[in-house]
Amino acid sequence: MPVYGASLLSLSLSFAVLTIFLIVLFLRRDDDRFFFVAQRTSLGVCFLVTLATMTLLASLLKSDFDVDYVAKYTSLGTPTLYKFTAMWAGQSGSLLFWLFVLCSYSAVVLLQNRNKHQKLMPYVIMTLTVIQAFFLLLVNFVANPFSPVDANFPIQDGLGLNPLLQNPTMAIHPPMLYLGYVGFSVPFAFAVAALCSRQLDVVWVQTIRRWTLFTWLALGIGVLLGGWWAYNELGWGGYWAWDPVENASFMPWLTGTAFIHSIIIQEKKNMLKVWNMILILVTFLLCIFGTFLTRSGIVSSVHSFTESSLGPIFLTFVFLILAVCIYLILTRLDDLKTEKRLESFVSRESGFLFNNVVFVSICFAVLWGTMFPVISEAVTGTQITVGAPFFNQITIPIGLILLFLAGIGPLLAWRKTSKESLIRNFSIPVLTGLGMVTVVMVFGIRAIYPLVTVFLTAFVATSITLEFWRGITVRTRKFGESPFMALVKMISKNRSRYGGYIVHIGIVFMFIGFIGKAFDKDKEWSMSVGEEVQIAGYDIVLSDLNEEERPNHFAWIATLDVIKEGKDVVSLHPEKRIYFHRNPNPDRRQPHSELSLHSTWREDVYSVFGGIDPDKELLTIKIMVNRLVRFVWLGGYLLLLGTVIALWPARRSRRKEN
Amino acid sequence: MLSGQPAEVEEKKTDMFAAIMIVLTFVLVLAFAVQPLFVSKGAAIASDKVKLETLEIRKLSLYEQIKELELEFDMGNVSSDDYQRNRIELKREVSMVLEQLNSISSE
Amino acid sequence: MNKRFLVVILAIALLMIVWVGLGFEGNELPYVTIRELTTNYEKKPGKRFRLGGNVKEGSIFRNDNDPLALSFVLMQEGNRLPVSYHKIVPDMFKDGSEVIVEGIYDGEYFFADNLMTKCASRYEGDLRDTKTSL
Repeated sequence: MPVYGASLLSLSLSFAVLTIFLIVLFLRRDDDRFFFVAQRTSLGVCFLVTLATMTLLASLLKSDFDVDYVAKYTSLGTPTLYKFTAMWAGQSGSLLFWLFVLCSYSAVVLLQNRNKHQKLMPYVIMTLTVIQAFFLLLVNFVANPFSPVDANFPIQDGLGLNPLLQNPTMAIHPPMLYLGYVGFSVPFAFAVAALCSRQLDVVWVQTIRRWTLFTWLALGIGVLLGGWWAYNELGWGGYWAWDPVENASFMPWLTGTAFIHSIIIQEKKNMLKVWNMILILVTFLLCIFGTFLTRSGIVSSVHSFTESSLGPIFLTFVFLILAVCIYLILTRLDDLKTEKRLESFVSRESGFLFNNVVFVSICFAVLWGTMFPVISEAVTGTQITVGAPFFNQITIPIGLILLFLAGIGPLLAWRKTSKESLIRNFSIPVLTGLGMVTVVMVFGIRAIYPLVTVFLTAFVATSITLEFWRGITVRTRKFGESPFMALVKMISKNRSRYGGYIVHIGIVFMFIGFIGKAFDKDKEWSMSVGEEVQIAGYDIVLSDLNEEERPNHFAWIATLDVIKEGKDVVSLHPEKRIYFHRNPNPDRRQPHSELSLHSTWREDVYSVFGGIDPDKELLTIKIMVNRLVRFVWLGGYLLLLGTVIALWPARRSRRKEN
Repeated sequence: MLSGQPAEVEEKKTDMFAAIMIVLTFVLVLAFAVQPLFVSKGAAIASDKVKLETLEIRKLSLYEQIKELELEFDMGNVSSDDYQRNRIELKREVSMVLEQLNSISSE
Repeated sequence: MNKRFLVVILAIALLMIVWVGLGFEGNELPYVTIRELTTNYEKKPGKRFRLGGNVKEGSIFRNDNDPLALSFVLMQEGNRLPVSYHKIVPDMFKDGSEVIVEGIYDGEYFFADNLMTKCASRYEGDLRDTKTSL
């Protein structure tokens, strides 16, 4: 099996090289047959890579410990689901998985556009194949997932998967992230194709719009799932730590968000062509860079793999792409010029433009903060890190500006907005915002950021609600529909518009969740059974301690009764587990804290079993009261819903009749 | 795996099997790839449809913008001055696009 | 008009750069070695540092009445630094483990307010050990 897998990888590489060669021949000779064969060989690469992926999967499921990767990341006791997910637990496996996702996307692009975009497709295939070839080089020569185990003794069992990764969320978080990371290759390939073929009009933008939206959604969901996993599994009580690897996934999301906004302008007004090119280029490079950051260990992070030789190779690739793309853009500047101009600062166009500037600024700040340790070490010799406080201080105000733009953008008219419509559209949202601020001030909140956030969330939520309400009124008046029917019809006729609004509402809810952070409480105690402690209006009693032996670990289970105002709220059961507890070598036993939480809209009571002194039955317990966290997840669901609405295909036939 | 003669034989067998499999896969993919060379579909790549496509997309986009503008006007988001100005501008663009489309199809 | 836009956008971009630059003030956390920390020590109350190293074998000491109160000796290239910490430690914290601490230094003790163990995603070991494990 490993031999077969390894040969499949080298075969894929040769087919990829062949594809590039054929495309070059086609462009030189202009003989269509070369292109037809290139299409087939490109599909061949996709097929071979898929086969290789399946082979690795089979080895993992069969626990074929002759393969080094299988022996390092699974054991006989690993549950089947996690044997499956071990595919992306290690470096070489995840590179192959990256490649597999890219190939699946490429196959879809190839089949979808078999008879379309004849000018663009050769360059699209070429670009995608170059990216494939790069990753094929890596899995063939640098990190081969099929390399045989390096041991001169028989192997009874593998090392097993890290217990932290044995979690259902962790089973879908990396693939989601990869769907996003890899997906930006497709719009990027179309952008390069547009540049190469000088077909710089709306065609390529129109073609990739839905791709980009899908990719952007996958990346967003991936990022959110990462936060969800950290919150529900890691036990430090937060969902975002500004860790380099988290930042690496956040940055392309930011520029991607800017891109999906600014291509609307190119589609509608035929403007911002250069800017869009730069944005998609940067987004794609950030995706590659993100993969590189995760894999290289250049910035120390809790997630990153140990140092490897991948760093320089990735950097070379990034710089090569950058150089080629800058050359392409510079040589095509004349074609990228627009005859149109912006007319007013107070218009939808400039709203989008400011949104773009702000998104890129946040991205720049995050990039700077992430890379600062590396830069400062290169310049001064001392690594200077900047932690979460830096990122929070920088991004919170910029984020609030974005929220403000999300509120006013939809209310601005294209080209120019007159004063009277400004007053009409904004008076109610502004008043509602001020009203909400007064209400929370009555409740005793005086801090500036929470107050500004309250104002903005109320402002944005009202302006979007009004938008929905006005739309419904128009339909009920015009067509005599019931309000509900009007809502459904209105959304289904303007999917991207209302889908976008729903996403904005989701973002508003997330910001509500972020305000909660300012009011979190946490405390740690050492307690014995029967003791009682207080935090944030809760009485917490450690009422019981049990021990249990389970198939692959041993667990101490604490019972914490949570009481508020004399009433029992819930019993929490945080656990302290020891994995591989029968291993005679104590270093191989792995302790793990399983947290337990009770979640409501108002706040979460979050408990962590820190440690135990078995002789004295003295436990260390950490309790956190985290406010409004649920709103963050609600925002995530709305983001999903809104994007799916925007993505839902419009009925073609109806459109043609018009 | 146990050491000794039988294991080695078995290993050779699996190697043979893998070799056959890989050759088979290679032949399969290659056959698939070169197949268009032998089928004379005559499906030449269509020439300059790009211009047409661009204009069609432009036209649809402009129609949609007009519809959206009307919706915004009905909803009261756009003042009647802005509405009139934008509408005239969009209509002018549509007629330009239609003109170009006509000239291409009459060629 | 487009020129004016360009000017405004450049101004915003400049503002952002200044804003990011300002954000560093007071948030920077130098990653130093034990030698650098102890030899160049000058009294700067509240100045935070970040250090990496290994927990000296057998140096972990917990207070009998308060298991949260913890001290240990951090080793790095033969230099040692006593560290005190008063929080729940990560699961992987034990004798010999590689840790990163953040906190303040008073010329004798390092008072850590944040302790991280390195190496969470990578789950390594020697394949020989698995013979007798579950």
